[in-house]
Amino acid sequence: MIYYEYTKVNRIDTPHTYMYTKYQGSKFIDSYFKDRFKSLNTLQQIKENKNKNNLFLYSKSSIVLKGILDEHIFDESLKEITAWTKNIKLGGTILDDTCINIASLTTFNISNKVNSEQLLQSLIESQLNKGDEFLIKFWLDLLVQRFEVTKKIYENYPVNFRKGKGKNDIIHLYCLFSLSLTLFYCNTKSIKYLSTLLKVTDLLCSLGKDLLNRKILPQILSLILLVELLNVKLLSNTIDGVNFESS
Amino acid sequence: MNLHNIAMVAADTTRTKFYMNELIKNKLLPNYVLLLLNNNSKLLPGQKDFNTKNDLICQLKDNGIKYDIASNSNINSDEAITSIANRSEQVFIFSGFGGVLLKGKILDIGKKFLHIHGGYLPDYKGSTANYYSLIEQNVIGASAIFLTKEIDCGPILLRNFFSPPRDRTKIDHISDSKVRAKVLVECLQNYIDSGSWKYELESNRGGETFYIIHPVLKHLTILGNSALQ
Repeated sequence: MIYYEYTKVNRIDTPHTYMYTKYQGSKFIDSYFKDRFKSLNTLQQIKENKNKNNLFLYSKSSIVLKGILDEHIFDESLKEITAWTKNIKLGGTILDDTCINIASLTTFNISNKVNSEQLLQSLIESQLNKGDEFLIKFWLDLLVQRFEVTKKIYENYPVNFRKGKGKNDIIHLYCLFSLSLTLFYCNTKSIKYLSTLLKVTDLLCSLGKDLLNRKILPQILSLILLVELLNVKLLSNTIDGVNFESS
Repeated sequence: MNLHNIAMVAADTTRTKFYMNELIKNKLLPNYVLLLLNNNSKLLPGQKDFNTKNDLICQLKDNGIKYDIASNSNINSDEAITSIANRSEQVFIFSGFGGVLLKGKILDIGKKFLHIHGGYLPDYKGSTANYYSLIEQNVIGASAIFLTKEIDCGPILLRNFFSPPRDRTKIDHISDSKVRAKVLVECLQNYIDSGSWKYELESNRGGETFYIIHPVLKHLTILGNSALQ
């Protein structure tokens, strides 16, 4: 049996470089699918979550992600999970009054210090509202570059988006980043962003259930993982010997 | 023939082995080689085994190529920089350990570093770019550039697309190195024929910068026989 090593230890504490990874055949893809399903099952077990951070953005995003999944239900066993996510009270107008003040992406300037949470909120809001694609790519590319070099998202980035400052273990920043990458990949199909997304979700799946429970909404991470699985499945459709097995 | 103005900085990696084999086969011998050897018990990026070191030294001796073993295997170390700065050759073919970037200090010593990037520039910059081009276009590429401070942005001397490898399980250590070696030889041959460095594209702007491909996508690239998109 092949071991999916990328989620086995806390990847904030012990980042993986992903350099010269070994080829292990089609069974490696099975191990990835199984590992993600294990994470989805773990997330389903989280019954109640009082974390209301970014609820407005997650609510709007969940509608988009569910729409993508509805177009491509690709496995019977997934229906149960998507049905579960549909029961999540994330959508709808009741959350309108929880809308936070999200700055326009045009107000961010590389000559100033940038707060990562504000930038990610603004990015996602812009992506959901079909904002300026050039500007979205510009800021997302800066975050991708910083994450790929350090395997971290820092609380702040100083002038010229150089080496990050502040905490790098704020879990909901990784969740927001994975959401932004998901939306961008679904919109552009540019593989680079799927590659980074897989690394960020590896990191999130490597964190313990208790940690995730306290820091993020399990429903939104479940949707992100499902859309990721769907996209990997779509890429593997033409390859003989790659079987999607969720059991 | 010896290339009097051209030397090489070479780590004991599979890529260096491919470069040396092709240079010797095509009688394009560097005037001098500075060897960066891994003296640790753990393999470094770009190394498949520990046999390359002895093979390389034998090849250099057999072909009468002058060489030194660097006292510090870090290309950015003061020792390595001094060794290179003191040489008379103006151009160094660069074949270091994987993931190592040349920093400002070495790039400022007045030498040119000829690097063969694994990917068609400027479209595919960054790391493991050939996996991405296989997914998107079912081709691989290699481009000869002079290194600058901005990664993969130096002027392009030569670039080529190549057919996808028959055995995709050996991209890292064989196919990628093979196409880079072909471009290196063609680039040096062009220099000999014309007597100067000619640029195919001086302004290497735009394109996309890629980062090390995730193993799931790497596996799909290897398992697939065509573009996946």
